[in-house]
Amino acid sequence: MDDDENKIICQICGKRQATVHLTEFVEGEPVQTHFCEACYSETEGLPPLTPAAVFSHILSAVAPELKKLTGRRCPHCGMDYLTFRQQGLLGCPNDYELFKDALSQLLEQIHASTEHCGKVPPQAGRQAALHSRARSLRRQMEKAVLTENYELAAQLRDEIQGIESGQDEPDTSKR
Amino acid sequence: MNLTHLRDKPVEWLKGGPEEDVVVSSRIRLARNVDGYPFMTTASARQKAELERLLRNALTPACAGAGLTYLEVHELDTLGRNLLLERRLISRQHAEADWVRGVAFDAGERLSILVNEEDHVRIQSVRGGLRLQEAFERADHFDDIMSRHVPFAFSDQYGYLTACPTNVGTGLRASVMVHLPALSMAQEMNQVLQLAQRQNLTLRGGYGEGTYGAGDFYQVSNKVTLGISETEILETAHSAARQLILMERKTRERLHNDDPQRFEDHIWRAYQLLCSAATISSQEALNLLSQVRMGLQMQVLTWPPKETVNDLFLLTLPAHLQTMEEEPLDGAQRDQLRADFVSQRLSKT
Ligand SMILES: [Zn+2]
Ligand SMILES: [Zn+2]
Repeated sequence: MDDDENKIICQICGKRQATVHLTEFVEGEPVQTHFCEACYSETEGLPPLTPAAVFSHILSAVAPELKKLTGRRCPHCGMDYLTFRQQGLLGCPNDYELFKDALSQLLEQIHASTEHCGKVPPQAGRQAALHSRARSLRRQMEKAVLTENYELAAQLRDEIQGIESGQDEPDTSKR
Repeated sequence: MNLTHLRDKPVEWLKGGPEEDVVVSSRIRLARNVDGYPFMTTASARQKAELERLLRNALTPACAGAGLTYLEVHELDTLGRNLLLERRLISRQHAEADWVRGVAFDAGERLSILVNEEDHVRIQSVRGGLRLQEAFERADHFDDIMSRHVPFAFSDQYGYLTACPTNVGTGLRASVMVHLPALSMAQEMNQVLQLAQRQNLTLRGGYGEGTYGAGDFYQVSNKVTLGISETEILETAHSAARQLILMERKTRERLHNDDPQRFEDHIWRAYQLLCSAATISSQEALNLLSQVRMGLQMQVLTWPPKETVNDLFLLTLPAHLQTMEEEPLDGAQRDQLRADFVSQRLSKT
């Protein structure tokens, strides 16, 4: 067998041999990107490469989870946390509540958020729709502040307060 | 059920659209699950069959209204499933699953609804060119229709609940397929990757898993689905696509201006090879067609018609070629047939 056949070429420069293989999950499918070391270090936003840094990266992700692995099993579908982490797929909608603590960390890593803002189906009711709307506005407000658009931010703040005061449990502690 | 008639039907999304010199298509996917049922991961065979029946019934009125055809994918042979896969009506996962499942799609193949994929329902909508908003509206509309018949699993905190936590929230994946031959040629794909990373987008091969860079087609799609609204997801993907369009156009012009002879020669050779090769692999055809596509967009070539080239991207794929022969073809026979077929389509007579 020709040795060159098995060489993977860097997808960035298309020249050097790829020695770093980054796997990300997209729609449950592993997507691999192959880098040579030079191109990897030039690309922003990628995880660290030195063994020590990689180890601490993994450890910090795993340590809190280990505590959650104490045999909690979903009564509806039989899923346990370890199986979920191995296959990457949950067993039923209930698992989101069951594994909530460990999941929030994971969701924070993937999405940098643990709260939905977006479409709400009709059966979820008015309350859910208002919550989603308020979160979406809050996000817009934060963006407005970041871009120093204070006028818009103030408008959005008023709108959020309007929504919140209209709800059946007004949060009075904030003001 | 024989699906070979699909072969002769051009796919709408391959016909082009806004910014078609760089953007091939815009694709939307919504992931949904039926409340009260486990995900496909743990569902029993009986539950899978129940889900399929339930969803097929929910789709029936929509099917009639929008002229959708429903196929039971588990009843199809491998060739049929691969045809649907190559036409992107179903996913690889859906093609290869071993349980009861189905797909509904419209005559133009712009909408397909997958039943019992990784999630119970996947609504896919696609348009030629850069038209994410339009594609989204169609998918969103079908989501509304289906929601009237089936309650989808939803939580106030997490939004639409999906089997994989990477899809939870909006369940929305917005992706744009771009053609970047000049950026690849100029070895500037690192800029593209950096742009994607910065905006929290994924960059992958346009032809699915393991095809990174094939034919210089890439898919850019959102990574994040939770804590971000549908509108924001669409805007991010759209603006990234706009940036890529500008980068690719600039690079095409620069390469052409720097050395017109070399640039045009490169394209001409690709065309000539397609016309005269005696045998050609699927991968090679893809790479050469990619050059010809760019040549036509830049008017370096005035022949063949764009439609012919667009059709060839689909018709040179293995399952589509197989439909042209009664007997099963092996790899070498397929490469010969492909070469014959391509040169015949490209000839002026
Ligand atoms: Zn490299
Ligand atoms: Zn469960």
